[in-house]
Amino acid sequence: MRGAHVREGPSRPRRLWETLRLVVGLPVAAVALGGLVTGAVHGGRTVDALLNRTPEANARLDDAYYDCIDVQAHSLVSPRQPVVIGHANLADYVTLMKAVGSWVTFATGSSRGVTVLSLIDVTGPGACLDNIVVATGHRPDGQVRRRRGTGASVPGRGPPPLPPL
Amino acid sequence: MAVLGAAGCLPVLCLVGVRWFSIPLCPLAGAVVASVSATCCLAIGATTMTWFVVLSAVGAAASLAWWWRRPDRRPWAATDAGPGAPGHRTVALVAALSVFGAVAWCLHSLSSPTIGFDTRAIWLLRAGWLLEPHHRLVLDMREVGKVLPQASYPPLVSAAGSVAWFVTGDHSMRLGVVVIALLNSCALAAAALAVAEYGRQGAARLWQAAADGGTDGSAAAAVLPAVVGAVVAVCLVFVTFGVAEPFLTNGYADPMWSLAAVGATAYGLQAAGGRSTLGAAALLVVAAGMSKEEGEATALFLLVLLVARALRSAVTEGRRWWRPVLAGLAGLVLVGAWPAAVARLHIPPQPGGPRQGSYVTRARQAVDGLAPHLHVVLLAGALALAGWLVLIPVRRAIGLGHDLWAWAALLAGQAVIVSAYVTGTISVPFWLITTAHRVTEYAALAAWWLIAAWAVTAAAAPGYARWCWPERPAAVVQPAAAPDPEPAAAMQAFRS
Repeated sequence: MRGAHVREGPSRPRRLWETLRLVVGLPVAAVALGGLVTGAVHGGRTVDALLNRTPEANARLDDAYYDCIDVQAHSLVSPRQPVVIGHANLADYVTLMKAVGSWVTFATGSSRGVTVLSLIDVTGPGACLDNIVVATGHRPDGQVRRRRGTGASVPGRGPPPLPPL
Repeated sequence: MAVLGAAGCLPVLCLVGVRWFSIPLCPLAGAVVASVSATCCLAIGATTMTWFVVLSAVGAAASLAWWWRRPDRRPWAATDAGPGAPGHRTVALVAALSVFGAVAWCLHSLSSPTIGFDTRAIWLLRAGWLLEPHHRLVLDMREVGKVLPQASYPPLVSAAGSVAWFVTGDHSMRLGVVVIALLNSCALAAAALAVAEYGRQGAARLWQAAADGGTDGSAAAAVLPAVVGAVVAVCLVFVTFGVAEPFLTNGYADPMWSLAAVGATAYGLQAAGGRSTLGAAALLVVAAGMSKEEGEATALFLLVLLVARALRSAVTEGRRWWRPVLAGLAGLVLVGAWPAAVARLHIPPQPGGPRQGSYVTRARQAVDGLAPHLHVVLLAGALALAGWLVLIPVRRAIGLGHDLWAWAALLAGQAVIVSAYVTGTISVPFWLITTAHRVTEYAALAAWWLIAAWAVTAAAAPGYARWCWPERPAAVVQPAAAPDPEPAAAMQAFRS
């Protein structure tokens, strides 16, 4: 025998405590794992739901609408040309900002040399879901010049379905 | 993503070392570099891309210089991953591959070309501005900021999109959305792997306890926390996609700050301290603070908590106390630089105007509106109560921090959100309709991570009962100072 001291087994309260620890630990593990697995199944279904036809069709229409406005704006102003986005109508301002705000050059104020981009409602061909981009500027003789955007259209009535906010 | 990953690779290897969770952290670090570049462009001059190239080079040079000075910190030197339980490398590999696979599977929702409202109106709108030189950027932010106050939001997501546009020459919203979704996924993978790390560390400590007690370790009992950690990490990936719904893949910044903050909590306030986990926490807290205004405020609270925990360890273990303080100040500078630059340049902040309703009414409306999204916090609370009663010693034994740290982080984040509703001017019911789901992501995800930590803890209970207080018959045993050479030698061989 090589031993030098004797180690006692755990006392009765400690054994009870350890048993309680296992007894509580199992339900904690079961509830936590059950909750996580349930949440994971819900998550998997959410991913599948995002690929349903309706959200996907809405997303494609939304994409087409903003692409259309972008192309029409490109047909009216160049990226280096100072513009002001008309904000008489906040909804139109936000729509235009979302479509072209990342590439246009914002003017520091509205002066005669500045082109104002805005949206008008038009039904028929050449419109992006009933919207057309319009550039309003001034000719050298001071007369107001209004041009309509071209190059793209999306048939149908707008606006596109609102994406999740 | 490759460019962002390359920019962040060496600093991540320097901060974190060669770990599985270093992989998703590399592009995030690159995004942080892009964000700092945008801040420098706004505050100082030149262009964001010029700063990006310069700062990437500086980061790489600083990393190489650090390795030259400290050979023990080189990537190929031993990491602080510590010893492991049997098969821990296999479990870690399977966990990492499973998490990456789950993220990749969930990302197939990107095949639906959804682009969020704010993605066009804020995040990618500014990606174009960040390609402009300093004076144009300031002008754009001032002019547009008069109408769209969100123009002054922190720049990480926009700057990452900007880098992608510059590198590819493709200035499409679609590319921007894909890059943001991938960055969100990196933050998610990093945060999920923290739970796998809990399991790995827990298994290693149990195995160590068995070895120290001179008992024969059962591989199955030792490896159980690691296996549960891996399973739970994969579950968390799916859970997150369920919580965030379309916002994870439609270009919003909410998942980025939420997941980065959850990851910072998981690594910095829950995992056992160490260079790798603290490095990951530091990177993630900065990413959270640079992603959105709510993230900024939450990151400040997280920095305080991270420094407090690190300071406590440093004082207890007799290490230099000023290091965590210095790291916290560096984080504060990084997170605070953008709002400071915005304020200095008088870029319009949130709109003023008369507040609708009293503070009390607004607070009640906010709490009522947010509560339906936070039921999971109740589950986490119930598990925490049960855990605090009997599982805290197990938690301590496997190296996990007390979850009061994580609860403090969760409550601080949610207090930030509620205070924004209370002190804001917009009608709270209207505001909640458009935001409640997104702004509760952090608290909901933090609660899921708390649940995951308790799952790993409970999985360690059998091993703890067996090895940390082994039940043995009263018998004469060998002295602790002179263990039986055979198992000790086997253990030493295994560890080496």
